Amino acid sequence: MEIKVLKSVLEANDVVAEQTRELLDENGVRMVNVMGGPGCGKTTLLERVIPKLGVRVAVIEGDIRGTHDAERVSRLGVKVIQINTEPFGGECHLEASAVRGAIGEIELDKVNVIFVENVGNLVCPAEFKIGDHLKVVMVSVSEGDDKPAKYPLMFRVSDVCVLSKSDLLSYVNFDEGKFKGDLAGVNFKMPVFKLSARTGEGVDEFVGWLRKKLSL
Amino acid sequence: MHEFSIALYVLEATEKEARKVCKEPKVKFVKIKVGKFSNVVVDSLKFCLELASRGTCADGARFMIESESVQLKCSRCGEETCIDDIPLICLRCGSFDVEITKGDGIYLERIELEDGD
Repeated sequence: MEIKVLKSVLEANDVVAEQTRELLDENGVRMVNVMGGPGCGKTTLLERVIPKLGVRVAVIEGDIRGTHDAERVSRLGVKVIQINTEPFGGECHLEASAVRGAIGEIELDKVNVIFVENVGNLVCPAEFKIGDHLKVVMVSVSEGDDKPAKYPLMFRVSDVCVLSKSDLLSYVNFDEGKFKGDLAGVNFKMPVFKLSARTGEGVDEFVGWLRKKLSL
Repeated sequence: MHEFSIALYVLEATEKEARKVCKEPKVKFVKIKVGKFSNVVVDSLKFCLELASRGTCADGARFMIESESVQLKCSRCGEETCIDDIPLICLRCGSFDVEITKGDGIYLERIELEDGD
Protein backbone atom coordinates (compact mmCIF):
# COMPACT_ATOMS: atom_id res chain seq x y z
CA MET A 1 0.00 0.00 0.00
CA GLU A 2 1.37 3.39 -0.97
CA ILE A 3 0.85 6.46 1.21
CA LYS A 4 1.59 9.88 -0.24
CA VAL A 5 2.85 12.16 2.53
CA LEU A 6 4.59 15.30 1.16
CA LYS A 7 5.37 16.72 4.60
CA SER A 8 8.47 18.34 5.99
CA VAL A 9 10.46 15.80 7.93
CA LEU A 10 11.07 18.37 10.64
CA GLU A 11 7.37 19.08 11.14
CA ALA A 12 7.47 17.57 14.63
CA ASN A 13 10.21 20.04 15.60
CA ASP A 14 8.58 22.97 13.82
CA VAL A 15 5.24 22.44 15.59
CA VAL A 16 6.98 22.76 18.97
CA ALA A 17 8.82 25.85 17.71
CA GLU A 18 5.51 27.46 16.72
CA GLN A 19 4.02 26.68 20.13
CA THR A 20 7.05 28.24 21.80
CA ARG A 21 6.68 31.34 19.69
CA GLU A 22 2.99 31.62 20.59
CA LEU A 23 3.80 31.28 24.28
CA LEU A 24 6.43 34.01 24.04
CA ASP A 25 4.07 36.32 22.12
CA GLU A 26 1.32 35.81 24.69
CA ASN A 27 3.74 36.97 27.35
CA GLY A 28 5.29 39.83 25.35
CA VAL A 29 8.74 38.19 25.39
CA ARG A 30 11.16 38.33 22.44
CA MET A 31 13.66 35.54 21.76
CA VAL A 32 16.97 35.97 19.92
CA ASN A 33 18.84 32.95 18.52
CA VAL A 34 22.58 33.64 18.44
CA MET A 35 24.47 31.28 16.15
CA GLY A 36 28.04 31.05 14.95
CA GLY A 37 31.09 28.81 14.89
CA PRO A 38 33.01 27.91 18.06
CA GLY A 39 35.06 30.83 19.32
CA CYS A 40 33.49 33.51 17.12
CA GLY A 41 32.57 35.53 20.21
CA LYS A 42 28.92 34.68 20.96
CA THR A 43 29.31 34.65 24.74
CA THR A 44 31.47 37.78 24.76
CA LEU A 45 28.86 39.57 22.63
CA LEU A 46 26.16 38.69 25.16
CA GLU A 47 28.42 39.96 27.97
CA ARG A 48 28.70 43.34 26.20
CA VAL A 49 25.17 43.66 24.82
CA ILE A 50 23.02 42.54 27.75
CA PRO A 51 24.05 45.34 30.17
CA LYS A 52 23.49 47.95 27.40
CA LEU A 53 20.02 46.73 26.43
CA GLY A 54 18.45 48.03 29.61
CA VAL A 55 15.72 45.39 29.76
CA ARG A 56 15.14 42.23 31.76
CA VAL A 57 16.97 39.34 30.13
CA ALA A 58 17.28 35.57 30.53
CA VAL A 59 19.80 33.43 28.66
CA ILE A 60 19.62 29.84 27.44
CA GLU A 61 23.09 28.44 26.83
CA GLY A 62 23.48 25.51 24.44
CA ASP A 63 26.65 23.42 24.49
CA ILE A 64 27.47 19.78 23.93
CA ARG A 65 28.95 19.65 27.40
CA GLY A 66 30.06 21.93 30.23
CA THR A 67 28.72 25.03 31.91
CA HIS A 68 31.56 27.43 31.11
CA ASP A 69 29.52 29.89 29.05
CA ALA A 70 26.58 29.79 31.46
CA GLU A 71 28.93 30.65 34.34
CA ARG A 72 30.29 33.65 32.43
CA VAL A 73 26.86 35.02 31.57
CA SER A 74 25.45 34.42 35.05
CA ARG A 75 27.97 36.99 36.37
CA LEU A 76 25.79 39.61 34.68
CA GLY A 77 23.12 38.81 37.26
CA VAL A 78 20.66 37.34 34.75
CA LYS A 79 18.84 34.02 34.86
CA VAL A 80 20.79 31.46 32.83
CA ILE A 81 19.75 27.95 31.88
CA GLN A 82 22.33 25.56 30.46
CA ILE A 83 21.28 22.90 27.97
CA ASN A 84 23.89 20.19 27.41
CA THR A 85 23.20 18.03 24.37
CA GLU A 86 25.68 15.32 25.39
CA PRO A 87 23.01 13.27 27.23
CA PHE A 88 21.00 13.28 23.99
CA GLY A 89 23.92 11.97 21.97
CA GLY A 90 25.93 15.15 21.70
CA GLU A 91 23.78 16.97 19.18
CA CYS A 92 25.49 19.83 17.41
CA HIS A 93 22.42 22.08 17.55
CA LEU A 94 19.50 22.94 19.83
CA GLU A 95 16.10 21.56 18.96
CA ALA A 96 12.75 23.16 19.69
CA SER A 97 11.87 20.70 22.45
CA ALA A 98 15.08 21.42 24.38
CA VAL A 99 14.53 25.17 24.16
CA ARG A 100 10.86 24.78 25.16
CA GLY A 101 11.96 22.81 28.21
CA ALA A 102 14.43 25.52 29.20
CA ILE A 103 11.78 28.24 28.77
CA GLY A 104 9.67 26.31 31.27
CA GLU A 105 12.23 27.30 33.91
CA ILE A 106 11.94 31.02 33.15
CA GLU A 107 9.25 33.20 34.73
CA LEU A 108 8.08 34.89 31.53
CA ASP A 109 6.44 37.80 33.36
CA LYS A 110 9.86 38.71 34.71
CA VAL A 111 11.74 39.00 31.38
CA ASN A 112 11.52 41.04 28.17
CA VAL A 113 14.13 39.21 26.07
CA ILE A 114 15.52 35.67 26.04
CA PHE A 115 18.86 35.14 24.31
CA VAL A 116 19.62 31.62 23.13
CA GLU A 117 23.30 31.01 22.57
CA ASN A 118 23.14 28.04 20.22
CA VAL A 119 25.75 25.30 19.97
CA GLY A 120 28.86 26.60 18.20
CA ASN A 121 28.31 25.51 14.60
CA LEU A 122 27.51 27.18 11.27
CA VAL A 123 25.81 24.09 9.84
CA CYS A 124 23.16 22.35 11.93
CA PRO A 125 21.43 25.14 13.91
CA ALA A 126 20.24 26.59 10.58
CA GLU A 127 17.98 23.57 9.98
CA PHE A 128 16.19 23.55 13.34
CA LYS A 129 13.60 26.16 14.20
CA ILE A 130 13.31 26.97 17.89
CA GLY A 131 10.59 29.64 17.89
CA ASP A 132 12.79 32.74 17.97
CA HIS A 133 11.86 36.24 16.75
CA LEU A 134 15.33 37.01 15.45
CA LYS A 135 18.30 34.98 14.22
CA VAL A 136 21.82 36.38 14.55
CA VAL A 137 24.71 34.75 12.69
CA MET A 138 28.17 35.65 13.94
CA VAL A 139 31.47 35.37 12.14
CA SER A 140 34.77 36.68 13.46
CA VAL A 141 37.22 38.27 11.02
CA SER A 142 39.84 35.70 12.04
CA GLU A 143 37.67 32.87 10.67
CA GLY A 144 38.01 34.05 7.09
CA ASP A 145 35.86 35.88 4.56
CA ASP A 146 34.46 32.77 2.86
CA LYS A 147 31.76 31.80 5.37
CA PRO A 148 28.66 32.98 3.42
CA ALA A 149 29.88 31.01 0.41
CA LYS A 150 30.60 27.89 2.47
CA TYR A 151 27.51 27.96 4.69
CA PRO A 152 24.78 29.58 2.59
CA LEU A 153 21.82 28.08 4.47
CA MET A 154 22.89 29.65 7.77
CA PHE A 155 23.23 33.08 6.18
CA ARG A 156 19.95 32.68 4.30
CA VAL A 157 17.84 31.85 7.35
CA SER A 158 19.39 34.50 9.63
CA ASP A 159 18.18 38.09 9.96
CA VAL A 160 21.43 39.87 10.79
CA CYS A 161 25.15 39.22 10.62
CA VAL A 162 27.57 40.31 13.32
CA LEU A 163 31.15 40.49 12.07
CA SER A 164 33.13 40.28 15.29
CA LYS A 165 36.70 40.89 16.47
CA SER A 166 37.05 43.87 14.12
CA ASP A 167 40.07 44.98 16.18
CA LEU A 168 41.99 42.12 14.55
CA LEU A 169 41.41 43.27 10.94
CA SER A 170 44.92 44.61 10.44
CA TYR A 171 46.39 41.24 11.50
CA VAL A 172 44.34 38.91 9.28
CA ASN A 173 43.55 38.51 5.59
CA PHE A 174 39.88 39.40 5.56
CA ASP A 175 38.45 40.88 2.39
CA GLU A 176 35.33 42.78 3.48
CA GLY A 177 34.29 43.36 -0.13
CA LYS A 178 34.37 39.63 -0.91
CA PHE A 179 32.51 38.81 2.31
CA LYS A 180 29.72 41.30 1.62
CA GLY A 181 29.58 40.36 -2.08
CA ASP A 182 29.16 36.66 -1.28
CA LEU A 183 26.62 37.54 1.40
CA ALA A 184 24.54 39.52 -1.10
CA GLY A 185 24.41 36.39 -3.26
CA VAL A 186 22.80 34.48 -0.42
CA ASN A 187 20.81 37.06 1.53
CA PHE A 188 21.07 40.50 -0.02
CA LYS A 189 18.86 42.23 2.55
CA MET A 190 20.95 41.11 5.53
CA PRO A 191 22.45 43.98 7.55
CA VAL A 192 26.02 43.49 8.75
CA PHE A 193 27.33 44.97 12.00
CA LYS A 194 31.09 45.04 12.24
CA LEU A 195 32.13 45.27 15.87
CA SER A 196 34.70 44.54 18.51
CA ALA A 197 33.44 43.44 21.90
CA ARG A 198 36.96 44.05 23.17
CA THR A 199 37.31 47.72 22.14
CA GLY A 200 33.58 48.49 22.03
CA GLU A 201 33.71 49.64 18.39
CA GLY A 202 30.33 49.15 16.74
CA VAL A 203 28.62 47.66 19.79
CA ASP A 204 26.30 50.62 20.44
CA GLU A 205 25.13 50.63 16.81
CA PHE A 206 24.26 46.96 17.03
CA VAL A 207 22.46 47.43 20.35
CA GLY A 208 20.46 50.33 18.85
CA TRP A 209 19.40 48.18 15.91
CA LEU A 210 18.51 45.30 18.22
CA ARG A 211 16.34 47.53 20.44
CA LYS A 212 14.48 48.82 17.39
CA LYS A 213 14.04 45.38 15.84
CA LEU A 214 12.76 43.87 19.08
CA SER A 215 10.54 46.91 19.78
CA LEU A 216 12.13 47.51 23.17
CA MET B 1 26.84 16.20 10.97
CA HIS B 2 23.23 16.15 12.10
CA GLU B 3 22.02 13.48 9.69
CA PHE B 4 21.30 11.09 12.57
CA SER B 5 18.88 13.61 14.12
CA ILE B 6 17.23 14.05 10.73
CA ALA B 7 17.00 10.25 10.34
CA LEU B 8 15.17 10.00 13.65
CA TYR B 9 12.69 12.63 12.49
CA VAL B 10 12.17 10.75 9.21
CA LEU B 11 11.42 7.55 11.10
CA GLU B 12 9.10 9.31 13.54
CA ALA B 13 7.15 10.86 10.66
CA THR B 14 7.12 7.52 8.79
CA GLU B 15 5.70 5.65 11.77
CA LYS B 16 3.12 8.39 12.41
CA GLU B 17 1.84 8.24 8.80
CA ALA B 18 1.93 4.43 8.67
CA ARG B 19 -0.03 4.10 11.89
CA LYS B 20 -2.81 6.28 10.45
CA VAL B 21 -3.74 3.39 8.13
CA CYS B 22 -2.49 0.31 9.98
CA LYS B 23 -2.22 -0.72 13.60
CA GLU B 24 1.07 -2.60 13.30
CA PRO B 25 2.56 -1.41 10.01
CA LYS B 26 5.57 -2.93 8.28
CA VAL B 27 7.17 -0.29 6.07
CA LYS B 28 9.03 -1.59 3.01
CA PHE B 29 9.90 1.64 1.18
CA VAL B 30 10.44 5.27 2.15
CA LYS B 31 11.06 8.11 -0.31
CA ILE B 32 12.60 11.34 0.91
CA LYS B 33 13.37 14.54 -0.96
CA VAL B 34 16.35 16.56 0.19
CA GLY B 35 16.72 20.08 -1.09
CA LYS B 36 20.15 20.97 -2.44
CA PHE B 37 20.10 24.14 -0.35
CA SER B 38 19.75 22.18 2.89
CA ASN B 39 22.83 21.06 4.79
CA VAL B 40 22.06 17.36 4.56
CA VAL B 41 24.62 14.99 3.03
CA VAL B 42 22.53 12.35 1.23
CA ASP B 43 24.94 9.42 1.72
CA SER B 44 25.23 10.17 5.43
CA LEU B 45 21.46 10.38 5.79
CA LYS B 46 21.02 7.02 4.05
CA PHE B 47 23.57 5.40 6.34
CA CYS B 48 21.90 6.88 9.42
CA LEU B 49 18.46 5.77 8.28
CA GLU B 50 19.62 2.20 7.81
CA LEU B 51 21.12 2.26 11.28
CA ALA B 52 18.33 4.06 13.10
CA SER B 53 15.51 2.05 11.51
CA ARG B 54 16.58 -1.21 13.17
CA GLY B 55 13.89 -2.39 15.53
CA THR B 56 11.34 0.09 14.18
CA CYS B 57 8.43 -0.50 11.82
CA ALA B 58 10.80 0.49 8.98
CA ASP B 59 13.42 -2.14 9.85
CA GLY B 60 14.74 -3.52 6.55
CA ALA B 61 12.92 -0.90 4.47
CA ARG B 62 14.50 0.48 1.29
CA PHE B 63 15.25 4.20 1.59
CA MET B 64 15.34 6.30 -1.56
CA ILE B 65 16.64 9.83 -1.23
CA GLU B 66 16.14 12.21 -4.12
CA SER B 67 17.92 15.52 -4.41
CA GLU B 68 15.68 18.48 -5.17
CA SER B 69 17.02 21.39 -7.18
CA VAL B 70 16.79 24.92 -5.87
CA GLN B 71 13.99 26.91 -7.48
CA LEU B 72 13.85 30.67 -7.16
CA LYS B 73 11.04 33.17 -7.76
CA CYS B 74 12.16 36.70 -8.51
CA SER B 75 10.37 39.41 -6.52
CA ARG B 76 11.28 41.98 -9.17
CA CYS B 77 10.26 40.33 -12.47
CA GLY B 78 8.35 37.25 -11.30
CA GLU B 79 10.57 34.79 -13.23
CA GLU B 80 10.98 31.29 -11.80
CA THR B 81 14.39 29.74 -12.34
CA CYS B 82 16.30 26.67 -11.22
CA ILE B 83 19.85 27.12 -10.07
CA ASP B 84 22.63 24.66 -9.31
CA ASP B 85 24.66 26.80 -6.98
CA ILE B 86 24.84 30.14 -5.23
CA PRO B 87 24.60 33.07 -5.83
CA LEU B 88 20.82 33.18 -5.46
CA ILE B 89 20.13 35.42 -8.41
CA CYS B 90 17.35 35.77 -10.97
CA LEU B 91 18.74 34.44 -14.25
CA ARG B 92 16.47 36.76 -16.24
CA CYS B 93 16.91 40.18 -14.65
CA GLY B 94 19.91 39.65 -12.36
CA SER B 95 18.11 40.68 -9.15
CA PHE B 96 19.20 39.25 -5.81
CA ASP B 97 15.70 39.82 -4.47
CA VAL B 98 14.56 36.22 -4.86
CA GLU B 99 12.53 33.79 -2.83
CA ILE B 100 13.47 30.10 -2.59
CA THR B 101 10.32 28.20 -3.58
CA LYS B 102 11.84 24.71 -3.70
CA GLY B 103 15.04 22.99 -2.62
CA ASP B 104 15.63 24.23 0.92
CA GLY B 105 13.77 21.59 2.88
CA ILE B 106 13.71 17.87 3.67
CA TYR B 107 10.45 16.13 2.84
CA LEU B 108 8.93 12.74 3.43
CA GLU B 109 7.35 12.17 0.01
CA ARG B 110 5.78 8.74 0.27
CA ILE B 111 5.95 5.41 2.04
CA GLU B 112 4.94 1.89 1.03
CA LEU B 113 3.72 -0.73 3.42
CA GLU B 114 4.08 -4.50 3.06
CA ASP B 115 1.16 -6.23 1.30
CA GLY B 116 -1.55 -7.18 3.70
CA ASP B 117 -1.08 -3.93 5.71
